[in-house]
Amino acid sequence: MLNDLEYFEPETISDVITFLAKHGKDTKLIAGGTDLLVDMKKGKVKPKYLVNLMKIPELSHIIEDGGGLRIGATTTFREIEESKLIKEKYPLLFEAARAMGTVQIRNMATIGGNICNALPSADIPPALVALDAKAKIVGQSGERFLPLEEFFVGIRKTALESDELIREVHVKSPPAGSGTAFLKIGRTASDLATLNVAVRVTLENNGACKEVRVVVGGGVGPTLIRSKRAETLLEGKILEEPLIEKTAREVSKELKPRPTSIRASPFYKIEVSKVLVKRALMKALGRAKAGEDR
Amino acid sequence: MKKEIEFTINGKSRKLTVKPNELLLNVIREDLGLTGTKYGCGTGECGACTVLIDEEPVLSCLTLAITVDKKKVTTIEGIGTDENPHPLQQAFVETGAVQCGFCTPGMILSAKTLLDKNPNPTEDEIKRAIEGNLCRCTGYIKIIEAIKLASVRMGGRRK
Amino acid sequence: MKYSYMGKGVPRIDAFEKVTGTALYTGDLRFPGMLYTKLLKSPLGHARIVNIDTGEAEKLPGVRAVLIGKEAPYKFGIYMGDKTVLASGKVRHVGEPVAAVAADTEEIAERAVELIKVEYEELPGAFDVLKAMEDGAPLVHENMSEYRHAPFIYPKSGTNIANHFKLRKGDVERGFKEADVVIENEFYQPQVQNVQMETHTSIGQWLPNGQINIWTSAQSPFAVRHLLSVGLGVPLHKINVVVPYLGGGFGGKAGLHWEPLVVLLSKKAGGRPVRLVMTREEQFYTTAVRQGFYARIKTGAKRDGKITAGAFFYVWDAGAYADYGVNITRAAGYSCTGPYEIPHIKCDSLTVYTNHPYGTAYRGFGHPEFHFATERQMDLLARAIGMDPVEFRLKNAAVPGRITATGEKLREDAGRVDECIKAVVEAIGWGKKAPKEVNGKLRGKGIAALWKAPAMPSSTSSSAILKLNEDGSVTLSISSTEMGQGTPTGLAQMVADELQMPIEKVKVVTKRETDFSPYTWQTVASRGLFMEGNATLDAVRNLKEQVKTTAAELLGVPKKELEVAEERVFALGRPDKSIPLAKLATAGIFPDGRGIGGPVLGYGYYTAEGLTNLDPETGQGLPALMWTFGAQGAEVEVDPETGDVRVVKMASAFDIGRAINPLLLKGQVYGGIVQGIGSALMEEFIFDERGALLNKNLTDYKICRTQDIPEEMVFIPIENPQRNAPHGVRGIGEHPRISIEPAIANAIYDAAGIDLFEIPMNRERVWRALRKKGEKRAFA
Repeated sequence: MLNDLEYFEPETISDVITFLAKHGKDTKLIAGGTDLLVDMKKGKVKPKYLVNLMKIPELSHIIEDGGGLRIGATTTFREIEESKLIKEKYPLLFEAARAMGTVQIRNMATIGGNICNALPSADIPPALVALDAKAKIVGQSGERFLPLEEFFVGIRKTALESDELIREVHVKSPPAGSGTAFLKIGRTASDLATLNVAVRVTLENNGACKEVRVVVGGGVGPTLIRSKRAETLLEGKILEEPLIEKTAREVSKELKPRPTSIRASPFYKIEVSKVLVKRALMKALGRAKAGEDR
Repeated sequence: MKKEIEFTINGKSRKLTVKPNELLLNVIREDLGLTGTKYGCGTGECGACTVLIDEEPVLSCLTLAITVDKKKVTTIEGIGTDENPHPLQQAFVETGAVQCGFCTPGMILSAKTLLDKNPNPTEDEIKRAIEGNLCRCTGYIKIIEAIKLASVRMGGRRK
Repeated sequence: MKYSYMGKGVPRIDAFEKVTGTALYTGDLRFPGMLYTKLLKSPLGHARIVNIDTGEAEKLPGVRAVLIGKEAPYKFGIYMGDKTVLASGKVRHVGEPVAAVAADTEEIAERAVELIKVEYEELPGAFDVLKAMEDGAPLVHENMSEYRHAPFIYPKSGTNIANHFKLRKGDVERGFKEADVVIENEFYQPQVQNVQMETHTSIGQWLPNGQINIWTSAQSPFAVRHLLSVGLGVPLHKINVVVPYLGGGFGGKAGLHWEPLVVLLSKKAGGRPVRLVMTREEQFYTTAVRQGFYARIKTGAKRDGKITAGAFFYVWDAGAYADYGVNITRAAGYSCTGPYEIPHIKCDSLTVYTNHPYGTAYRGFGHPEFHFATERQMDLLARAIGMDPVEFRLKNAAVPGRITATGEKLREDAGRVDECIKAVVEAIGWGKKAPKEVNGKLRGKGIAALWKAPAMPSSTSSSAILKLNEDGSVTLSISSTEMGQGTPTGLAQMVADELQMPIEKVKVVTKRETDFSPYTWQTVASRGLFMEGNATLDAVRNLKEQVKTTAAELLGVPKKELEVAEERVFALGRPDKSIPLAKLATAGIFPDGRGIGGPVLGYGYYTAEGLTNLDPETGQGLPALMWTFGAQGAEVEVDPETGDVRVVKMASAFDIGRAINPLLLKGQVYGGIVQGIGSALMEEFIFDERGALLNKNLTDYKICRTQDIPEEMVFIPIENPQRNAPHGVRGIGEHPRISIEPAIANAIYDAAGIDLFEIPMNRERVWRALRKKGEKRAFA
């Protein structure tokens, strides 16, 4: 059962900011509600005020400009999944978005809500980090941009202040010569991830690796992990299978899964992350070479 | 703090006064008496509570009733009757896609949106469209068959 | 014959109601003044209840009744009267209800529950079924010896053993000496949940005049009435139990569950109807689940493939209450060998109490659990003697003329497991050359056979009433409930055929109501079509007899020359001597206006034939009304790097005797297979060290979704009719779910060379086995 509360339905972002400035600590912002209402039913959170963001037109959009993408915070996963623009130019986001939940959940859940809920098993954050996404955060003191990997602070903990909200997610267009891949292991279709991996490989004209991102999620730490080791090991090199395998082993050393997961042991997650990272890198490399992701 | 909302339910406009913490599932079942929409898990996993909001399948157990103000809600009771069944309903009957029937309303609504948007879905597209509806009786095979049959009858699929 | 519905895929008669959302389930019913129930559940696995303070809860406006265990000291149970509806004195598992509140709304009830304060004193718990059998283990039921139980249940006083079923046939030691090869293995299956889409739902009303009304999602209305009457000590005839449609049962809604609770709350609330809808979480850990299972099997065979001896040691993790568990233990015990003849057998099957959620029936009634062990063992033994596992099975198959474990000589019409095995061999291309690796995934095939008979008391009975209506239509009443299996549709087909009338003119009453409906024992055990079928055919005979008696007088024709068809009674070859059934429904009328006969009400029954009790020391006797035999084959793909298993194809063959309705039959088969795949690959209860269930919701406990089903499912019906069955039919409800686990496990061995002994065969378990075997690709 949900606790008694007061409900507000602002139509502008500035109304939200004003409200949060006053009541931020007692307020929950609700978008799709697919995580929040489950938590409220369990009594984990009992907000005094609920502010619905879904009636704010300026929060929902997918816009391409300036060599990148701006996704409004209340854009649903289904809208991302069904966007032609995203499917064609940002296949990594398409793959990660459709890996999340079921059709019904994706019709409700929003990108902003998913990010703010900060579950380490979430599917779209690794993909966003692999594309160097930034969160555009607005609050009483104005707006700021934060690289997404810095936005996640811990399990269900973010860098958001109580008077702030995410307005947009900005994603850079993958540079020419890029290939991406998203892989996920769950127990069934639509399961929370036991492991997920998002990879972007960007190649120089000479075939050497110009830039790489390897991001592992699925409860391998309090937040997702963007592997710096992978970047050091691969950037500037010609990517071949032995190096990729070595990199996958190195990436696994950065993972710190919780010991208590019911989905898989930490041992399994660490060991099999090597398989997933390798497969993702190989797939991304193949796509980069084929010029599939532009 | 109750609020009056006005929305369309199965094609008819309706005004209701709801509390902000009331779930759409309960309003549909208790206040509107439309019991075809079922409670299965309350956490958005099983799809038994699926309804269409503005033609898209969503979970009424995780939707606050207050948020459907000005929207269009469709439940299983709104898509066909005994005398004039929806082709999906007819196909579910004929192919044996119904067993205990508890998941059936949600399943049909998910399938309806699929066929409305994509009249000629592949088997994989059908499976994905109903991935959010758990069924413990049928093993899904007959349900997939029913959706294919409805697709043919609705003119989408060449047999 | 004009009408022939036998063997036709007639759409189920309840389908339209269900696709339009108008079919009513218990949770859809509304009654004036109805109250809503919420439960306070134990956070501890084993603890003494020191004190319960309900004062604050009772003061909350809108609360109409608060009930605690002390006020409800009634013991309930069908085979073992060991359960109270609320924990009394102590709690025995996490999730057990300690107090219940009935209030004007669910919100109020929930707030009241939060106001109840309970003081516990934690006790050492029994969380491991094998340790729970040891001397000095914490006792889950100190007073077990005082519990009422069925005569064929053998509890061991002063222990956690609620039943010890023994079977002794031949001389097992001699059998092992005769063997060339003897192997022994251990197997394990965890507790799982039935996961019916509809959670347990009950509405109860105890009126001041003593009348008790119940509307409930129960499989067996008459069992509910009986058990409630015995448990509460109230007269049986004062109880009326109504069962509408069920949103799935799979055994979990058999017997009595929460009906006593709502009834007692109603009494305390002055007779207002009280409803309880279990939350999904409660469905996982408050209500009944499938028992856990441990097996140790020792089998010996000669080099020529003949099995000489088998020793079967089965231990069932009953959880906190063993009511149904004790009979599952027994059924698995007398079927312990699987569908094979073994001359020398020793079986010990034990129900053991633990501090886990309590066990009950789940589709297969213990058979999926022990078939995993026996059918794995068959493959392992075949390998040990160097024989093809199919040939090995055929050599020992329990075909007609052979002797079962309980000493029953299988009749000529008993069904043919060998034909089932051969059909599956053909369907999955067993022994045919196939690539062992496809796209880096290992491929393999596996086969497992099965058998199961209904587990029920020897004199179990069913009845049917067939009413002739004034328009010539008929209305059939039976008490076998409709929970998705489709029995009423099959019965309607039988009636239409027998009376030679359109099936549209046969109505089967959807609601079951003990005050009006004819008695049946239970809707369990895959017995419905067989037993209600026989009762229905008997009722048709009786109805025909009645209309013919009256028609003979009216037409002036001897009764034996009359026939019934096309809604008329008529004399063969004499078109003038004919009368519509409609004209006989209330009474016949002579031309001069005189009446004759009366309202026509056909009555029929069937009582199980030829069954006996089993000897308490040797288990010898006749327990089986019918054996349904079958075989299942799997083709799987194993990812050697991740341990991921995908079922590519499943083939199943069952000797169903006769297919009454192929459409509904396929539904049962495919549904059973997919349920089985869930338990084979992903379903399992995971507990912490103090017995708390860690995955008590559908986010953390997974069942198959659409994308998890096999690419291909093949079903081959084998039809060797059963003599005493209606149209030769055998039960099939549970069987498609029985041998999925071993077929997949055997296929995984064929694919990857690893032997699995534990269910579920999830990714990590398979991956660990691959590493243990030294599969290089599992070491990244």
